[in-house]
Amino acid sequence: MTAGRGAGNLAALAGFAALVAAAPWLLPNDYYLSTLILAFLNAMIVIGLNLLLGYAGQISLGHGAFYGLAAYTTAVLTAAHGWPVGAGCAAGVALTAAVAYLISIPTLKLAGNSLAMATLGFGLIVHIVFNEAIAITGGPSGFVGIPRLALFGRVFESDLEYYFLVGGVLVLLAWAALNLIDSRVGRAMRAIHTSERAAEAVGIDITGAKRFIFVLSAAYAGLAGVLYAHYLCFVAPSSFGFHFSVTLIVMVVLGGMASVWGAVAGAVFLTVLPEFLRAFEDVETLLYGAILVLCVVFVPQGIAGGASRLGRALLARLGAARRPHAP
Amino acid sequence: MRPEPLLRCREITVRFGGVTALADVALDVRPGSITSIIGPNGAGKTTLLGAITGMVRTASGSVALAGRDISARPAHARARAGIVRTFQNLEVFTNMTVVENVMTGCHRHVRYPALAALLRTPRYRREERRCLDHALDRLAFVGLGELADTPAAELAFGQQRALELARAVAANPSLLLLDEPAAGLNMAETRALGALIRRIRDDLGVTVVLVEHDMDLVMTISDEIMVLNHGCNLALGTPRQIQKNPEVVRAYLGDDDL
Repeated sequence: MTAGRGAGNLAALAGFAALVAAAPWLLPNDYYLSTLILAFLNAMIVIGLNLLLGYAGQISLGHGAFYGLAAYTTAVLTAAHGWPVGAGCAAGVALTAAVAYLISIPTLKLAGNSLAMATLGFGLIVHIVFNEAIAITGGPSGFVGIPRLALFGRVFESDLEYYFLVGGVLVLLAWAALNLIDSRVGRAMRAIHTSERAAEAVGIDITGAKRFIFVLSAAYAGLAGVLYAHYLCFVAPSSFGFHFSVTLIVMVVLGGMASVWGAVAGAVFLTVLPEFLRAFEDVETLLYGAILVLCVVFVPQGIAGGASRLGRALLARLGAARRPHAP
Repeated sequence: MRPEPLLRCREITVRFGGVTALADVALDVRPGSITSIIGPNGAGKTTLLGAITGMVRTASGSVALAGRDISARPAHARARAGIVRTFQNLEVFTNMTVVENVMTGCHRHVRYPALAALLRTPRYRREERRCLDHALDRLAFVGLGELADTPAAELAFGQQRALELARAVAANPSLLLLDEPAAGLNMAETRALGALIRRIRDDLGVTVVLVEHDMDLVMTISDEIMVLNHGCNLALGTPRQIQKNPEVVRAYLGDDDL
């Protein structure tokens, strides 16, 4: 079937949605539910970051800061200025996208790793502002009193409600990303990744395409950020530092470059893993590092790449087993 | 009277640092023709293609397509205006399937906003369907119809060449610039390529400019040949005229017979 990825995508989405819906009944207690919520929020950022890094080949070291910028924006607007939660969320996402757009104007004209450098600097500056603008952000001890998410007069009180909301948004964002990849924009991104010259030669505006995908991926991080702020009702600078930006990149690579489901798998895996390692108090970090190294050695294409290779190998074995019975 | 040229280059000068790669080069390409640019290595042939497509900065000179000056436009805008090129070393998008490569070629005439793609609107689906049909059509045109869903990286060298051609003609260019399309092909493949270039001109109505070292190919399919030497125009004429031109023979072909 030619270019028939649409049907496959829908089946995968339906499967994932079913898994998300069933998960609460498979979990032993509510603590895991809150871990999954955080994992899904990370998955949203990582899907966006994978569009930028895995598909378009551009590195951002500032996605943690975009996440934080959106979280703080809605936190300040709703808690300190009495904005409705919906308006605060919209403002958070919009501001994040606008800032990404501003960053892209000077940097994307330059060749090489200018985007990585610019976003690195941006992330550090944002982190300093979170820490130092105490009057607005509350400083290093964090910002408290953020209202719980309320949309259309409905407050998402319980974790279970919030879980379904976040799961639903994640499915929607994954769907949108899959659609985008199979479009002229998605092909332009992938073309730029392999050969900018050839992309230009068929009429792709390289700067424009890079800018679009950078702003979109910042908006993904922004959406996750506002959902984070109104879930925990508390934000602190330490959640949005350089370390988190790097962790997001590790999630992309570990999950699998250029794969939406890889992004989800990488984010969930690396968010849940520390929770399980907590039992090994003294060697926790050591184990975490060792697992990462093992992953890079044995599944260099990431979880998604490894899974598809395994699938192909199984199919091949199945085919080989069937062949002797053929007439 | 000669018809208005489709492409008109005047006094193109390109410098790389202190080296002058092209000096006051002129080139006219008649609509519907196959025009070849030949010359010894380092004559500036590929640089001229770069100057025409906007990928190489010119120090001076003008490029006009169908009477409209496009000298100031960036490369992607010139591609949208109808000038599409292929590359000497293959530039296939190896991270896509064969048909996706060709669909990328449709970039300039598939129209819907990015938001329509994100939300999979009817317009997006309609345009994607049209783009896919067009791409499959072009793939069949170059003889790769059976390989649509193969990852492009898995194609053989000659097939990747054909794929690059399919991607280029999928853009519906008015002018197609081919940079040594026969490099690395064997004799049978080169002959098939010659026939394909003719069909691109005859069936698709695309004007072709060819930079090529394979003299058999150049002499059999060209309507007009322009000879470059040391970054300057040396001669211009039909294949027969060029073969007899003593200056060309001396500068380029050597003293032996062709």
